[in-house]
Amino acid sequence: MQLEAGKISGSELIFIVVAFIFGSSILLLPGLDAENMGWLAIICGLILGIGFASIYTTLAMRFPGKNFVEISEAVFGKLIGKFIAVAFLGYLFHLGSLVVTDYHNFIKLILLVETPSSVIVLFALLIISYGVWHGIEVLGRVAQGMVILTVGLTLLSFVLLTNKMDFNNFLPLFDLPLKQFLWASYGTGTFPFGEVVAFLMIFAALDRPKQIRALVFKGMIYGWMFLFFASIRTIAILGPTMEIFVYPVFQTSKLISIADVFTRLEIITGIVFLMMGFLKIGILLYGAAIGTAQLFQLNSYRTLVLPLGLLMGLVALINFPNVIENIKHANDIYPIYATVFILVIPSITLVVAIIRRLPKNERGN
Amino acid sequence: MLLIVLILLFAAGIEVPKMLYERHWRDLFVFTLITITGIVLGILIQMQVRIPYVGVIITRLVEKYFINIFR
Amino acid sequence: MVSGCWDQVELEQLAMVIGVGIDYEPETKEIKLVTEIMKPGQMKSPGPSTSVTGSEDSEGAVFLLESKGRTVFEAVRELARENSRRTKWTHSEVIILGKSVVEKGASNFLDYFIRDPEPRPLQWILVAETESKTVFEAKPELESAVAMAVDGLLENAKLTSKVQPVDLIQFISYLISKTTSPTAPIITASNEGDNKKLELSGTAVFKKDKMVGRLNLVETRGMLWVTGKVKSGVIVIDLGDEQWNCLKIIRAKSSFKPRLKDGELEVEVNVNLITTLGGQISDVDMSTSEGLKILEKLAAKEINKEVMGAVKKAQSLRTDIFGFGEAFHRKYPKRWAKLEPDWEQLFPKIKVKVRSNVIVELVGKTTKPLGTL
Repeated sequence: MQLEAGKISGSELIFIVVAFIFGSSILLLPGLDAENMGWLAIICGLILGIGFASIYTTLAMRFPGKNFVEISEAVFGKLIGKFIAVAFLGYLFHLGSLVVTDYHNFIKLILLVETPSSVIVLFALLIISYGVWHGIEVLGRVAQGMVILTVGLTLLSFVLLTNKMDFNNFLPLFDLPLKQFLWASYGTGTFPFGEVVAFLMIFAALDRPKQIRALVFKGMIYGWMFLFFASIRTIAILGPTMEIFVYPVFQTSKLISIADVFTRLEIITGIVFLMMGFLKIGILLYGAAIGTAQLFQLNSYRTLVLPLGLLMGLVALINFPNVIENIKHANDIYPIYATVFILVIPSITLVVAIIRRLPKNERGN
Repeated sequence: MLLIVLILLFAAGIEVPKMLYERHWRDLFVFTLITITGIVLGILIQMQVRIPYVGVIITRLVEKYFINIFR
Repeated sequence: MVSGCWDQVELEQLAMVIGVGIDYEPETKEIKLVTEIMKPGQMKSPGPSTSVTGSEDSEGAVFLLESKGRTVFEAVRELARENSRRTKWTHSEVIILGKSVVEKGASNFLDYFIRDPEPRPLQWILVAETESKTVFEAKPELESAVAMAVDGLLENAKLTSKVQPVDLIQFISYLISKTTSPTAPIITASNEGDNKKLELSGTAVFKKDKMVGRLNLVETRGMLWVTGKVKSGVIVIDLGDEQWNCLKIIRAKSSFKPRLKDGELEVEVNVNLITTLGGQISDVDMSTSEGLKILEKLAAKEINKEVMGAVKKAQSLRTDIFGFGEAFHRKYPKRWAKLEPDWEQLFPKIKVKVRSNVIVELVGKTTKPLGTL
């Protein structure tokens, strides 16, 4: 491949996957709609996510060292392949802008209330673009450090909040209408677990393609574990008040108060959330940039990083007229819209690839 | 904000010479394309022209074709 | 980061609000806010040396600022008109609801405090039976501000376990619950000499968000026995003939179990205590094994009395302050759907049975009481 593929190791991939899953889900808790059964919804989401992952990892492993654009062109032929790839890249791009929108709302509410939206978005994307410009290796290493920090903090917060947990909040069990629960579970399957499909653009950089599936599964499980703890912590502490808060996990960290000394630690939590978000946006941006460069057969993806990044930010500003539309989109529309890219496109690609017995080399056909 | 435009131009300033120098015409083409889209979009947003909201577009699309899935 | 410039505020430009009182004027339909604002640099640590002379000290570390508005947020902004600095709510410790507010219904007044990210969710909520300003006009001896004094009072509340501190988040979860009634401690500022003294005098009981009654201190402890929140305190046992003995609570654990028997709602409360002998006003030496057993039985009776007192009051007000409803919901989820809408009628009919078990473990440093020597 003529583009600088970059090389990342297996463990770096796991870290990036974990960071990706944390990314925006730590802001808005997946499985919220399942109320006190949220923890179970997250488990179901993981199972779904692994199901989705088996499909696209198989696809990736069939075409080692190739990203989705290349795969799509190979499977569907140049024209249709490019077309499908464009759609996929569009999804990655738009997903990136959605994450930016979510983070922008968070920053605007909690941290920088009066700063104009465009400035927040602009500077954030400048930083992210700079990171991505340096390449996937950098993202990998940054992810390693930040994830360790985040994990440590999550566990610490959990421990510091045990005095405020009321496990009665989990009862009564199974009191929820089934439809609500199923929808919430499916929602968790797509956000955040299913979104790992974006990594179809990143697997190419892995130096050990045979382990893709195992690594992705591992990353998902680790990511799931901490989401699970976050969910338990939130349900145990906030109980029924969970539904009125827009950022429930953040709200719980606002309640940390030990001996009047350890208070107001939510700032650290906020910063950690931001870091994870930056990583997630970075990965999506990287995917979009590499994909676009691949599509047009360019020499380098680097030049596109900044313009695409800024464009992503601009789109984020015009995504929704108000926060309510955002929530409606996230709850009702997104799971369906995402399924197309997480399930439908990879499955069809895989099936066609199998039918056409691609890639040709190993088969000797 | 005008800042956006400035930054994009700044970025262009850095990247373009490299592309011209190495004669990567394709790169330059795509780069310019995206950058100009960015500048135009930025100016439109700045002037508060009502652009169709992307998220809402998707919402409408999904609603139209998947009414049956609706709860 | 450059992007923080817009939100940059220097410390000298801030006025930190540490306590707020809310009142409502029905005639003008306006909300009155009283805020206690800290003067940084003037907050003296509690100590005898500097607070001797009256006038110099009353320059004080805090001052009060009032404002009016049609909504709480409007009133908050109006504070800026009389203030040379910007108010910052991130250190607010206490919200005091005035009488007018709890009569009208507290939830509308509290919305700002939970919606806006600046105020802390851990602020204490208290009810004043007068205007909240009266409370803020008190001049506490050891603390430099009313808000700090109230915070200290609530901290100390666990020593007597006759008051249940409630913070904003807890209050909101009460409001969200469809059956549990919110409660909040009542704070009064009573006159003593030329100073107003602050005192926690009971518990306000709400139905939804309107105050409908109160529990006195003993009844409050009764409620705390049931909810298992008693940490420490004193049980006085009347032995008759002006003889009293006193038990110091070391550890208390209680629980309640809902039961549905033949369509009758029952709750069984179990209280377990470990105590030691505190000081006694009695010539009778109870430091014998039998004596202790008698004390244990009498203490148990006393506790049962307190619990039933609280239960009776709550049932007469038709307010489920204990969370019995939620307990039934957890234990009998399927039948709950039928019980929940009528809970206000069903709650007073619940048969509550109390069983207390008191153990006197130690007797303090001495055995025979001084009165017998």
